[in-house]
Amino acid sequence: MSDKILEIKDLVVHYITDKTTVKAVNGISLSLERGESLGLVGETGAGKTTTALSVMQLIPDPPGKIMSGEILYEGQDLVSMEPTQKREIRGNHISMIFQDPMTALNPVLSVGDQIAEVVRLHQKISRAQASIKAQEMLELVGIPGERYAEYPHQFSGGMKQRVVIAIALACNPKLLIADEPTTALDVTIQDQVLDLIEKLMREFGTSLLLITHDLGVVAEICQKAAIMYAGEIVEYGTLKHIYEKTAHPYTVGLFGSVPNLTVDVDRLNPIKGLMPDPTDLPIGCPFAPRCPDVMPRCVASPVPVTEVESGHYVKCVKFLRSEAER
Amino acid sequence: MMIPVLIGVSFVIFSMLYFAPGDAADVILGDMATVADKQQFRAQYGLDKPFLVQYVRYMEGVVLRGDLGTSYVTRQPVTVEILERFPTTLQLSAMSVFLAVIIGISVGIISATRQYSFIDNLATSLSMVGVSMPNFWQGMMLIIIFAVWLRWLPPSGFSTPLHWILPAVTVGTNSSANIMRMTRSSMLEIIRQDYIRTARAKGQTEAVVIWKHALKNALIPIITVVGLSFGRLLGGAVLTESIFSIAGVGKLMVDAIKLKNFPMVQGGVLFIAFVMSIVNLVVDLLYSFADPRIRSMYTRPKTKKFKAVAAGEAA
Amino acid sequence: MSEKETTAVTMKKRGQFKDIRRRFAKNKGAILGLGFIVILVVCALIPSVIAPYGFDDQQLSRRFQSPSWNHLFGTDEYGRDIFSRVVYGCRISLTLGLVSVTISCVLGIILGCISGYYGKVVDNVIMRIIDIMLSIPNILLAVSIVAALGTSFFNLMLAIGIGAVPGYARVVRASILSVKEQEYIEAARSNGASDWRIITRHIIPNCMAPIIVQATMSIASAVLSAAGMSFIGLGIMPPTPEWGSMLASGRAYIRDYWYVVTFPGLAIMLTVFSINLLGDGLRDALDPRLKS
Repeated sequence: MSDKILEIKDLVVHYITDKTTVKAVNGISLSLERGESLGLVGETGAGKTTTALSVMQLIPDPPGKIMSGEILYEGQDLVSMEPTQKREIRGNHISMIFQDPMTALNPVLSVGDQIAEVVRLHQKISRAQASIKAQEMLELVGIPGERYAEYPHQFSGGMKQRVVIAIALACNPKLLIADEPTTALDVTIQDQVLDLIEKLMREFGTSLLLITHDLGVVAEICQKAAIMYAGEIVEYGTLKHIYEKTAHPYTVGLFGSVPNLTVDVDRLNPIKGLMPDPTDLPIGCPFAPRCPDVMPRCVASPVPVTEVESGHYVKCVKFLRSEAER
Repeated sequence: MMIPVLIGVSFVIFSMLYFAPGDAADVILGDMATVADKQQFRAQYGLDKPFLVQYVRYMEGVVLRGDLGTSYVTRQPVTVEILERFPTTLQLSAMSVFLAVIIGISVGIISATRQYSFIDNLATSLSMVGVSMPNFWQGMMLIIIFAVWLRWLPPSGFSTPLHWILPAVTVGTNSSANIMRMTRSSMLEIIRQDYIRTARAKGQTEAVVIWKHALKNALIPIITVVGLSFGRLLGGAVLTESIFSIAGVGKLMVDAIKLKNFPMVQGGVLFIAFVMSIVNLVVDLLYSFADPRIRSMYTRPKTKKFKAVAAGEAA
Repeated sequence: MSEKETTAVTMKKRGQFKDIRRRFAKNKGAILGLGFIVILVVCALIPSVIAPYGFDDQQLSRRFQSPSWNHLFGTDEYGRDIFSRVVYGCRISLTLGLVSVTISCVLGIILGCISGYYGKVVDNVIMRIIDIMLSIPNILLAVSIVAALGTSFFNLMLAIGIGAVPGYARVVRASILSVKEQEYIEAARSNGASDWRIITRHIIPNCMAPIIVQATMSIASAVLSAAGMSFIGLGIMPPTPEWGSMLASGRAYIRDYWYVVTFPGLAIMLTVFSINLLGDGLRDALDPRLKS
């Protein structure tokens, strides 16, 4: 209980405009222990980034709103905190790195100053000492400390992402949220950056919430995984559960669509159809229209979560136990 | 860059006034003068020589001696007359720019951070009104309200700080409206950028995010508008000085136009074009201060300096 | 193009036009501006119907009367009804605006086309000329032109028109530069289309939107410039009721008779304001992406 760094309980987030309401996240729950890594997997538009931004309390309001649910960091609810407390936590206890390194850094400030900024925000040290700390962080992520005074445009994409990582880890946060940190980078650089993140996680004992659409990356770095679809977590468990005892048809489909190096095929196997419109979600299971195992119960009413084995949760009619739930 | 443009300006103005109808001698000396008097006048001012000769002699004078010609009315060198009055116009312009920048940028920022609020709508409407007002009329209305009816401020002259208020407001309104609109649109664009989100994710306060992170980036187009405003300001000063009877270059020009004092008009326009080129140059320099991407095209990074500082601290 | 294709293109154009109209109608400010301009146009077309007095009706016995029911805006130093003079002035201001804008538009588009399309040396020369024009504050440029050509109604419009040419030239040039490298231009050229045809058929329709917006805004600044010029004494001469010259002659009396300058100036301001509102509305309607 007390070893849980992060606990999300029934989080619901909507984006409300005067024309429509986008139901981005619809009742998700997950938890993360100290030092653990969780992979949040899903297609574009599944609600992963919204989840991450909710933890950081950075959902733009308007039009976004956390409608209900709790986000507990070390037992305290982030949603109901005072703004000052939230600022105290951001960058300090919980940090986030974003998807596109090209636009994540302020072009008119030196990279060193941007790292020093987060240090000075949360620690009472002098400007000079913060600069030294910033320099140390640069070295830690593999950038020569002398480049402190250079500007973002003087760095490549991969190096910019390292600077972003340096900023995120400068205050030794307990939880790092990484939103598709390598998607925008070249394949060769992706590996380097992932290795770096993994190394730093282990060195500092930081917990990691890794958002990605790449099942391979999750297998390498994480211990648990949560599969998101249309704002809901459809399957959740340890790597063994997800990869070897795959339950939900969507997860099965995801694995099925990954190209197989050993088998010769003529065509790839995508999942038929498209994700539902988040402004017009169906009442029952959102995956029903595309599911090969669909039955009438699927579209009739919302599907409850089943724990198929200890720690392995699935949101699917196929696994409903009691007749009452059918 | 500057030089060919200035030469072009001088050529254009010179030709235009050369071909102006009416003989200067007739206009200045009037009907009572004799033919001989007029010929003497023309010879004295070199008006009997062919066009190109006149132009070259004029340019020689300008470039070598700073001599912009001699006023038909006062028989004094144009350069002297302009330079006597330039400090006043410069002061008026500087104050107006200052006022315009302070009001324009602050209101622009408030408008951008509270988009669609009452303040935003009010500011946008007022700025549109400000841009639509002919500034000489605005000057007159301000005089009527503040000098005639309320008697708070003097209606003319430029001697005391109280005298400065109405003219500076009149000239500055137009520019402050433009600056406000540019600040607003620039800030709105910047605020949506990813690096602003990064700054917030660090736990930075909203005030610092806006004033340090956002504004520094928004400055570049704002500087452009301020630079452009200066040009319109000089134009605006022309009329405003007449309204408030301020002895500046603008009023000098207006009077010269009325009296068909061509050398003065010519010299004045050339002088103003010159000032504007300098302003443009300053604006370009400001760009490289504001945007390190432009700056790094001209300088090398300060790595060595930093190493020394760090070494010193560690020791 | 076949019958079907022509119809398809026409249908698309009609759909676009409807969209534009709808977006424009949603903008209350633009409608307000449009309404006021309609009033001005009416005043310009039939001033004698609206104005209770002639613009030259002098009656020295009723000089400087304050605004009253008889004289809505009061009377001036010659006993003329200011309201009537303002109404008659509409025609002058609107004519000034429209003609000078037409002049700038035509000259600017031609220059911009040549500059953008033929590029290199020609482009450089034209851009330098434009730089020169932009180095001189508008008023002084207009002043010099009028000083050179003499003070007449047409010369005033020419002077103001020339001052606005850089704006159009730049807009057109920018549009051409952005479109020039597109593939459909290459396609047209490889089909044997002449330069002229390419420019008129393909390029100009693409820059129509920014040109329309620019034109609307220039009418506003033309009205302002004309007023300024008349104020200096280089524009329209009295007794023609141009609003700027009314301000010039009324200036001497602002201490005692505020209404002589207030109402003509208000007319200028409201006219320019409405045109600006209209221009903003057009800009938003023609290209909603330009909205911040």
